[in-house]
Amino acid sequence: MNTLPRTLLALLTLATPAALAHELARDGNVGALMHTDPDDAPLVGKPTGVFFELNQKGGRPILLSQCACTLSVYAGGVRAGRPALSQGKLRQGQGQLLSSVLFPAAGAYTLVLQGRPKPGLASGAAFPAFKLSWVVRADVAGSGGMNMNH
Amino acid sequence: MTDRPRSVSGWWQVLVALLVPLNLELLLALVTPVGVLAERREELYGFLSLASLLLVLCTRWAGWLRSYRRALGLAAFWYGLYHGWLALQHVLQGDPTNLLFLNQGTQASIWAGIVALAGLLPLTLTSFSGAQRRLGRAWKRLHRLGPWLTLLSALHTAWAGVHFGFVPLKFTSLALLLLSLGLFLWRRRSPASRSPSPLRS
Repeated sequence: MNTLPRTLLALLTLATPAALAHELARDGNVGALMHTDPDDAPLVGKPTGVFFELNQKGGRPILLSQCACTLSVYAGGVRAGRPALSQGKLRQGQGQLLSSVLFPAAGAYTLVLQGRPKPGLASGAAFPAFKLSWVVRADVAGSGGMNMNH
Repeated sequence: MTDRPRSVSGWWQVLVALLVPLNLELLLALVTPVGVLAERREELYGFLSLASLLLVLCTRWAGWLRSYRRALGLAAFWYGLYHGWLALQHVLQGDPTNLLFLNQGTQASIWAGIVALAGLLPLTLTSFSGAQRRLGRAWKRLHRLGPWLTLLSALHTAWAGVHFGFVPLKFTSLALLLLSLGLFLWRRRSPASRSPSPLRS
């Protein structure tokens, strides 16, 4: 083997970062990959970090400064007339939206991220209103995780 | 006198290639939350593919591994293909167009993996003696792509990121697995393990 690929391989091994995000949901021209801490298996009674990599089709990121976004957490599924358990406060991270959510008891929760362009947003950066949802299972010992049947 | 690598039966190599991931899957099922098991399985086969490719490179220095080279190359392709299929099912939810909703860096990292896997296909299809004879010099040129495809696979892994989780049980399991593998390889390599014991007469 040439020295060049061998050297590059060694450098790559040292530079491998942690993975970013995992399960994808999409609505029209907007999609997001969600990841929860720790290791996609949220714990009950502890603040859980939630990360959304929100993009338009093609991979152009949607920033919080462009989006009137809200995050709602529902116990179980979303049903008409039933209020959200809590609203997660969103903030802008590097290439992703971040929030912290508290799951009070073991079981399934639905996270709903919805948004629309902020008024006055340049037409080039505009995106359609969207509503994305994921079902997450919180557990005491962290044995839950995401339910992909959303 | 040349130290010829010991030949290992093809069926034995297939058995090992199947048993290694099955054991790792069992370990994964023990330490991984149910909800993320599918995604971790996908990552596991990606790692197995890359590990197989790296072991193919190691055959340059570890002569005793040389007889496994073809099996390792084939295993790398099949593990990689299964990894790709699992990623399509569980990360992209069965719809390849979902790739367009990932950020551009992640899209590029996935394309690197796709190109590496596509590059391994002709190597896999020509990895038998008949093809080697028929292609002659072209076969050697084609198979010189191997290290570059390994590099591309490593780039895909590094770029997409690894997700193992800093859970003590996982690290302990991995450390024990690596230790076991290390001891197994060291024993196979050690001349003392091959020569008869002086205590035995």
